[in-house]
Amino acid sequence: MKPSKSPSPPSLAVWLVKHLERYQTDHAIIEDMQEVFTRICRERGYILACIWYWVQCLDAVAKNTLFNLKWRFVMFKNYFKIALRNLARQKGYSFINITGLAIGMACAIFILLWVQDELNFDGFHENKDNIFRVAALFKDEGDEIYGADTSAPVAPFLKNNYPEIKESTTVNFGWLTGNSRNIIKFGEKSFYTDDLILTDSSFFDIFSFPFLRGDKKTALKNPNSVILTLSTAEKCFGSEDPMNKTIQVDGNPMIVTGVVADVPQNSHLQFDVVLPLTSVRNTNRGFFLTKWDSYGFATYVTLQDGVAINELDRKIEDVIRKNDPNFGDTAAYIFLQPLSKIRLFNVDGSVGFMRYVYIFLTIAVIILLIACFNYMNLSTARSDKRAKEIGLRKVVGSKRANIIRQFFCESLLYAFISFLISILIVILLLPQFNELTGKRIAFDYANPVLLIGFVFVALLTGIIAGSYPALYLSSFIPIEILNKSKSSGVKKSPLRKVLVVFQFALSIGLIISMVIVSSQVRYMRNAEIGFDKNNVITLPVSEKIENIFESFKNELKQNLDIVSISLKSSSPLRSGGTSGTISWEGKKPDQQINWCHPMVDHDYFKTLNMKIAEGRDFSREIQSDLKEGFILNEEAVKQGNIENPIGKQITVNGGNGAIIGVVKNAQLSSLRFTIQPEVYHLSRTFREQFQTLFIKMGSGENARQFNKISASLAHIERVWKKFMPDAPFEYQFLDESLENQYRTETRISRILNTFTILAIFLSCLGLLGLTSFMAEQRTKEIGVRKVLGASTAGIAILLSKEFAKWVLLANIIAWPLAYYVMNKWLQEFANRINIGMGTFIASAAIALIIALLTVSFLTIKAALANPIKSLRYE
Amino acid sequence: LKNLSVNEQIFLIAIWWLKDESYGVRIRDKIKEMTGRTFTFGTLYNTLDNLAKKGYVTSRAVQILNQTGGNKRVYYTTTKAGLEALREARELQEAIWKGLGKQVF
Repeated sequence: MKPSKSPSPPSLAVWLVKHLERYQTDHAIIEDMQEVFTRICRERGYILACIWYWVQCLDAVAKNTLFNLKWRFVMFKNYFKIALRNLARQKGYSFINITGLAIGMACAIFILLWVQDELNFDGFHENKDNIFRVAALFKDEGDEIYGADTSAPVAPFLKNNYPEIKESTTVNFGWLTGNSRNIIKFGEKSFYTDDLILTDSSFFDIFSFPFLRGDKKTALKNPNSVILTLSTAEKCFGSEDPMNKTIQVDGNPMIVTGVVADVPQNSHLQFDVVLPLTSVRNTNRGFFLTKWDSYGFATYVTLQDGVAINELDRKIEDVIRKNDPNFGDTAAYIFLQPLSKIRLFNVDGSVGFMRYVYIFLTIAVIILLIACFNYMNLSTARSDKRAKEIGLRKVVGSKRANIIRQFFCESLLYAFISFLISILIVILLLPQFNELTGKRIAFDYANPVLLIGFVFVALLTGIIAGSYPALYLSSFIPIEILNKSKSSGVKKSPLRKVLVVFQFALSIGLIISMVIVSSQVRYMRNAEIGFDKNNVITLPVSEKIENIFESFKNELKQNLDIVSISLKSSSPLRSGGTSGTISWEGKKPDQQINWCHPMVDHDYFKTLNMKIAEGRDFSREIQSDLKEGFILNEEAVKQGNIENPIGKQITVNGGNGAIIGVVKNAQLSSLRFTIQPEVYHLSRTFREQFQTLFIKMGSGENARQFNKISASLAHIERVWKKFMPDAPFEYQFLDESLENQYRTETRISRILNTFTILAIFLSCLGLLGLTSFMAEQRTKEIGVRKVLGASTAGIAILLSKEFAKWVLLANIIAWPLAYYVMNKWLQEFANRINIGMGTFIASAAIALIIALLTVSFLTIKAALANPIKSLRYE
Repeated sequence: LKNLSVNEQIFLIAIWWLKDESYGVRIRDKIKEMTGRTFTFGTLYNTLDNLAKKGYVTSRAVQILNQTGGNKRVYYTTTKAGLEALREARELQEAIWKGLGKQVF
């Protein structure tokens, strides 16, 4: 041991103690601790001494922190007091700030609720992370077609041959019953259901749809059993016990063996009646259950623990090719798609509905930013009023950090008040929001994720809004502020202009998007679609109708307002099946086709007022039409490359005949998709049967006259009841069904409109505050100008000019961004509008007019003011 | 009434005993000698700081020289007010305990 040099204590600990605010006076603590450290070193050794030093050090750190907190709390109390006083003194500005922030936050919260609901789609299943849908990929000469459909034998095959798969189930969404809508009948009551599914018992092992009555293991055992959802059971039986009662499903007696809770709205599987797949085994559609190439079934599986999906995908990809002898050249692969991706992503893994999640999150951020910019602008614009306070605080010893802290406190206070108001707004307007979005979102106060999310939104808003004011205001140099009688805080801040420009760029971007989205929606709803959708009602029919159709038609036609009646072999807006083979004279052997071949009756084109482009319509006079007449639509002619189609031989599923006509394209499906090639025929070439009855009422000008329509409907109902006493009379207007196809787009458009209007409102609110401040600042200038002879109009223009300049500048930023985003969005639609320059110019004009109108009130007021008032103090 | 906590009383008495030698380490040692309690330096300086704020002690910093080289050492002295407060505290204590024998508790 060297007596000359005492060992030194751990340097990190020394450094720590040295930097404690509490003990900085002369660093006496260091010297003292050093002394005792040396003593312990001598008596007990270096290591114990070091431990002792560290204990002392940490204790001092703790004491220091406590002390700081105490003083910080005292300072915070002061900050909040000052903030509250400012808030109360400048009611106008506070109102603008708080309103803006509250609306911004309410929007953000609404959008977060919506996003959370979307992300939790299908999230209620117990083993949600282990459920997969089996999807298929068809590769055909470079074309890749993805489908969520597989065939019925896939599920049992997977389960029996791959030990990795725990459970598998097949779901059919109703077509297997042979009807597009299914009639449920109990006693006197009968109604249609759209959501009938056929499946097997593993379905309820895989998915968590809780059974209220009955046993999930045995409920689907018998082919004649049926499971109902609670509301369906109530519809049939009221409050009676439904178990073991017999109901008629499409005329077949079925015994109720179970009741499940209603399917939540956020489930991609929607059903109200469940039949066993085995119920169709003994019908003429039973063969579908074993047919490998009959797509139209959904297959779901759960996996054993710890199975790698990629490996399993590789093992199962050739299942279809191995089992389907007729597959030919097209390569089909199957793979697993996780349940969580079904709602938001396309089958090929690309962004589907998720895009809207991104879009709305962006909008939430935009609106919050606009609200924050308002706050930043207003609080820095009014920095003059606070400059003296800041100067004085600095003079009496505030550091810059303290001032920064103070202004963050202030913005957080505003954010907090606004947050409370926004929560109130959300609670009050949630029903309206649900109506707008078509969701059933409840404000779940107990959900920690949501609550933390909301508090996070509030904190983030406060911090962003406070950041610039805090940094800007704390940079003031006290001597400059206190020396000058008046500082010019306004001109010193170029960022403020940038913020206004940015704000308007965001608003203009939203306006452009709004205009484009709504014109696309309007375009789809009103586009020339090749047929007359007005005054047509559709009714689902069963195969029985063929026997009675002629007399049914004749009786209907006794009402002169009924123009035409027709039948089709698919649901109203579908074009019919695509399975089977089609060939024609001159078809290239390698040509792959996927055409629809709806069976119709003679008056189909007349009923929908579809125009024949070439050749002729089906005719009752020509007997051969019944078996050998085919009519193509123009798309089929184009895709098939058929020159001079009339008279060419064609074979559809073994039915030979000739093309007798070409009908103009008519798109019944959503314009989001391209038009399908179609072959219409009268005969039963495959297993078609009529599913939909079309009735065209009224004609010409007075078509929509309400009385006439309702009289016709009453007549139709009478006849319907007479001929089809078992089937309920539930019709749909064709134009309404068409509209319904655009529900998602219409909804998105409406949500976008709402948020855009809010964003513009917020921008204008900020602009209003800024203008009133500027007008106030320039009171004297305006007075002098007026004295020197400036006109009122001249001054109003002078004041408005600056804002106009900013708004115009904002366009430069907004246009390319909006163009890029909207162009991308439009790509989703096969039929889309062109983005014209007009949209952009109109949006710019709208923004400019709104901005000028907003400021006009204040500028005119300032310009009209009597100069005596503004100058008399000089 | 000038309230003194027990710790403050101990500190004041220790400083008074130490006279000219009353700086951090010594005060700490003296307290240990008097009462058997050991204080961390954090607590020590917090208490001294409080006493100084109340005006019961004054402090003076002295530059010292030793092997580790020139830190300051702060010496404390009780003030008149401090002694006054101590006296009051003692009177209060005695008044409270008056007439109670040791066997009571």
